[in-house]
Amino acid sequence: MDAPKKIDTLDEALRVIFLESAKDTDAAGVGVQILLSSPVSVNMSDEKKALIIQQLNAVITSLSFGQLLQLAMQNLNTTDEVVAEKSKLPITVIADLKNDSIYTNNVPIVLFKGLLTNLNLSFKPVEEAIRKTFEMLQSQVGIKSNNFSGFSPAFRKGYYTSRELLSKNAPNTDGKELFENKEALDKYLARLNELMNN
Amino acid sequence: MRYQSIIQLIEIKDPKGLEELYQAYGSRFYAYAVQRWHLTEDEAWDVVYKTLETLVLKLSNYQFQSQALFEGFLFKVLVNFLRQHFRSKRNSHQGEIDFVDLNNEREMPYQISKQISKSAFSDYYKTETVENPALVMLNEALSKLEPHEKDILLLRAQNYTYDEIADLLGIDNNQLKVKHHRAKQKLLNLINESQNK
Repeated sequence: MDAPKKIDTLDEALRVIFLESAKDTDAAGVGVQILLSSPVSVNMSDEKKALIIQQLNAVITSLSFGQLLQLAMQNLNTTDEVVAEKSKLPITVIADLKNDSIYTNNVPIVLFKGLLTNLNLSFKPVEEAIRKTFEMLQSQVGIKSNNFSGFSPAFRKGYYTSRELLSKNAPNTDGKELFENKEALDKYLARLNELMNN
Repeated sequence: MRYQSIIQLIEIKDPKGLEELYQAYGSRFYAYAVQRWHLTEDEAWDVVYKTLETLVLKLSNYQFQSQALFEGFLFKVLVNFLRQHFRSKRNSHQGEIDFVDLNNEREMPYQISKQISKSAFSDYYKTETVENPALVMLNEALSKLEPHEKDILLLRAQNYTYDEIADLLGIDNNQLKVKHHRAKQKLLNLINESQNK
C-alpha cells in the first residue's frame, strides 16, 4: 500500500468505519458476500500460491502439544490421573495441556520437564508442538471480538438474518499475559532445551 | 456444501482441502487486498496467508453451522489482518500524508476536514482508538442515510468503481457519481446539523 500524498479526509474516515464495523458478525456476513461477488482482475502468481499451500500444509500436518501429549499417553496406555501424580502437576493442568487451552510456558519449567521425561518425549518434537500450540492460542487472541459500541454495522443489516457469534474456547491463561508472547516462549524453550539435554 | 468439504479435507490433513480453500477464498481475498486496499503483492500474500492460517489453526475450536457463518468468520479474520496492516502502514507514513477535502467544491459547503482532525486518524493508527467524537459523530450520521447511500459511500471509499458498485448493489449506474456526491453532501449536512444542535 503506497502512502498517497493527499488522502480525502471523509473517505479515510469511512475506511476506518468500515474496518471497525467488520468486527460485527452481521456486517461481516454482508461484507463477505460483496467481496465474493466482486470481479477479480488480480491473481497471485503460481509460485506464491504454491508457497501458501505448502506452508499451510506444514501447519495442518504438524502436531500441537495437546495432540502430542495425547499420543504419548495413548502409547504408554496411561491416564490423566497417573500422569498428574508422576509429574506433580494438577490434573486440571494436564487436561488444559491436552486441550491446547493454556500456553505451555505457563507451566513451571521443572515440572514440565518432568512431565516430558515421564512420557519419553524428546525436546525437538516437543518444541515444534509447543510452537504450534502457541500459534493456535495467539490466533484466538487476534480475533477476539472487540466491538466498539459507537460503530454499528455499516452495510445493509436488514437484508440479512442475525447471526450469533460462534461458541469458542477462549484460552484459559489465568491472566498470565506476561508469558503469552514470543520472546517469553523462546526463552522458555531455550531453558527447557538446557534442562532436557544437559 | 463447499465449505463442509473444505473443512473435512483439512481435518483429515488432505492438501486438497487447502487447494479448495485457496481457490474459493484465498484468491479472492488476495484480489480484494490488492485492488481495494492497494497492498503490494507481498503484503497481500502475507495478509491472505495469516487469514488462512488462522482458520486452519482454529478449525478444531469452532463448529460452523452454515456456509454464511463460515464465510463471515473468514471475512472477520481477513479484515482484522487488513486493519492491522492499514494502521501500521499509515502510522509509519503519517508525516507524508496530507488529509484534504478532495471534494472541496462550492456545492460542498461543510468541509469534513474541519470536523475530523488529523489527530483522530493519528490515534486510530497508533492505538485503534475509535472513541474520537468526530468519528463517532460521522458514524451516527452515516446510520441516518438511506442504506444504498451508505453502501455507495463505503464501497467507493474502498476503491470500488462506479460500474462495480452498480453491479454489486444491483442498481442503475446512471448518475451513480452524482448519487455518490449527493450522499456525501447529505452526510456532511447531517454532521453540520448535529454540531449546531
